Amino acid sequence: MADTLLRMEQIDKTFPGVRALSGVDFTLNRGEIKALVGENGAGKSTLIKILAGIYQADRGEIYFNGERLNLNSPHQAREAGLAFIHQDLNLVPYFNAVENIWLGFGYPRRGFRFARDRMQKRVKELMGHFNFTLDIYSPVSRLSTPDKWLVAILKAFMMETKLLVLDEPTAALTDKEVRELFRNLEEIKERGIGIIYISHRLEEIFAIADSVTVLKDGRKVADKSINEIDKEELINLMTEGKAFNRHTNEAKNPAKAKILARAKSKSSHGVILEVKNLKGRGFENISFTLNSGEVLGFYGLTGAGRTDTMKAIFGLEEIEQGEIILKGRRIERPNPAAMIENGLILIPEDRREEGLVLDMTVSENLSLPNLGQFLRFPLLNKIDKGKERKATRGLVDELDIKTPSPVIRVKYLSGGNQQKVVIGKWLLKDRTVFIFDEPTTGIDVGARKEIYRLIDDLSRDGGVIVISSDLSEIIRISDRVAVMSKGRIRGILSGDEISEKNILQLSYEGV
Amino acid sequence: MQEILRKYGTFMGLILIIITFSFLKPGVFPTLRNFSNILEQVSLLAVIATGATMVMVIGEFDLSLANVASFAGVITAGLLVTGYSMYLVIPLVLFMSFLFGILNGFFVANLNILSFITTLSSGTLLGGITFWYSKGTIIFSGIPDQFLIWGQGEILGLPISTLIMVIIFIIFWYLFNETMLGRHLYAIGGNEKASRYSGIKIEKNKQIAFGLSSGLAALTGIILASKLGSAHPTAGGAYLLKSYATVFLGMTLFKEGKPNIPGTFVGVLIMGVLENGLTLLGVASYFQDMLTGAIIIAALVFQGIKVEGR
Repeated sequence: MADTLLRMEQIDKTFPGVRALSGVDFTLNRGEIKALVGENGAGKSTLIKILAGIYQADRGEIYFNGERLNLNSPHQAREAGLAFIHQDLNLVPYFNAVENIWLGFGYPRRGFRFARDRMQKRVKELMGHFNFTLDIYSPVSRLSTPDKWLVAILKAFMMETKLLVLDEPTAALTDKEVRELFRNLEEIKERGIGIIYISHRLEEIFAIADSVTVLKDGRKVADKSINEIDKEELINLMTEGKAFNRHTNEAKNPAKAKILARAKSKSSHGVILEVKNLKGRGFENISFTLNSGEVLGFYGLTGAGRTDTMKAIFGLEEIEQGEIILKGRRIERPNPAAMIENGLILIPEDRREEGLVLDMTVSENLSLPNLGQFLRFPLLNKIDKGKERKATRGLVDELDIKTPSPVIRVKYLSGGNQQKVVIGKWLLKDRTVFIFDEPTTGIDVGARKEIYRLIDDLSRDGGVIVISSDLSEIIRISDRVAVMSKGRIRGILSGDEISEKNILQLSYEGV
Repeated sequence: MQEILRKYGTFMGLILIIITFSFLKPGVFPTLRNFSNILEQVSLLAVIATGATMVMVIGEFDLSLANVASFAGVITAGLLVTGYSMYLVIPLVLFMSFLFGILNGFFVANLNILSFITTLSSGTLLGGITFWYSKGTIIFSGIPDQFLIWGQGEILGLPISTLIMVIIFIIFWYLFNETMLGRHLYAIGGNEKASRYSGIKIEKNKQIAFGLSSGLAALTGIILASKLGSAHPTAGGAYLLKSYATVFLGMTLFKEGKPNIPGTFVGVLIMGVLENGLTLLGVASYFQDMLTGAIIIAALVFQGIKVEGR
């Protein structure tokens, strides 16, 4: 039975400052579906990118189909018979299945016209081979999501394909659609194709996979047949296989000490933000309170609905039902301008897309939400540029934003310094609630510490909500942690309850 | 050298054009009288181009500008002929056009329809109204002489239309560079999402930008009617592409590549000087168009590198 298709041996990969993979072995047999699981940052995507030829391993070897593979480019991986299908699928919505499948392979012609019959014939052959049924005449935008996956899969089989990697195929599927997709995956597998299946949804893994490989902090902690393991054990493996841990040792104890110190220094503990039974697109039943002086962490797997929830509170997404009470006042229909007026700020995840006007200067970005403070001749709304310069210069100094001058365009700054600008623009006035969405993505260790310090400072004068997918970060900076999955809050942990295991257990509830 | 060319290329182009014409037509082209002529000739383009600059600052297009100009000219002339006072008619027409622009802004900002399509459609609609009102004819008899001062009168030897251009430039330069509204508009054009996250009211600002640009187009149409002493339902047509060409030329003037008033002014001058010089040289108008088009393309290609990828 052990008809090995892929063997990755002792794969190492280091990025500046991070050991992404160390000594990872991974094997896959022909006709096997193997799930690859692990936390965010466990190394799944690095491993897959090495297999796809996007990254090169620092050390280690890859054997595929009995031969040693040297992968230097995605092209080589494709030539070897590896196909990768990502969530986005990359289909042209108004082309039909046949046109999509043939795209990139040169449409066959007959005279001045496309030979559509030949194209269709080939697609039908492929469908026959796998026993797929699919509407090949309608534009793919009209197809169901599992059918779109079939189109992407069929496209992969236009070339010799022995191994299929599916990245979170079910994130957007209903239970019924998942079953439909699984039936088709079984068909593929029976024809000797190996499938690597990446998913956060544990129940699915038990439904479809033959075996599972677990990564944690860049190491393989388990490789088991699906019959030998249950859900509980799988979660334990993802959380407790402490082969090594990047942050915990350094972080845990000082963090605890810090929380105690902070608890003492904070006097008022009144509720400043209360959310009751909030419902909108991607979340429901959201209720929580934020106390003055605290940092409330929000953890969840990708797609758990954390960002949508916070955007709705800030007024960027529609609220179908529920209440938001800020400083004792009920907010009727939130919109960003009004929420900011009331002292609630959302600092978005994507600095460059949502946080900054890249072509404006550091100073202009810092003053953007504060221009009302710098006006002279109120009727003309003239900006007092002297006052503006002074204030923004002060911020640059205070936050230690490393820039040659405040009038440099902000796009030339490093990620950490850009993030300080995104935060800094809210510091010219007292604010009550700060919501940070993944405040440290793409930021180096030094700047990260400064951001943590800022978050801590801000929580002293109000309350802070931090969305983060970095477990150790959440544990380190939060006083309480709310855990979401599938659009709902599954629990809010405080004090000693805050542990990797408890958080993860909650984050897999309902998935 | 390349840096200098990139930085000052457009401005140097203008100087070069002026020097060239001065050699080709000495004694005629480089005279105070001719320069004053040029400034008067470009005044209309300058006002409507300021409107085009306005919408381009927020990253949108307003393709109804020419229709608004024609509309304003025809309605103004029509109402004047009927006997209403111009002190009533002009503010009324400006206000109507302003509201029309606000409506464009509403469709673009609140209903999220591409500005291209919105203004193409609304402009067509307005063009239809203009034709209907004028019955497709030129309105010229019965326009009071008093109305003609805007386009033909002088104060202290300076044409009034030139003065209007200067005043409009000063007002809008101030607005863009010194006021909160201007800063907000540039921020929206630079990154709409980030502006929203910063609490800027996108919808309101966009409506104002479209409203003001429409108002400026209407002002252009009114002065044009005054200058010609008549109003024609397609009189504004020629200005649409020219106004955007000047804005694009102006964007190449500074490193940031943003639409800006001094840049638009230089762009307007380039267009005006070319037209004036070529006419003096007796170049046929179709050839003028070819040359003007080619020069704009050359300027954009040459300076186009400034549009950096993110």
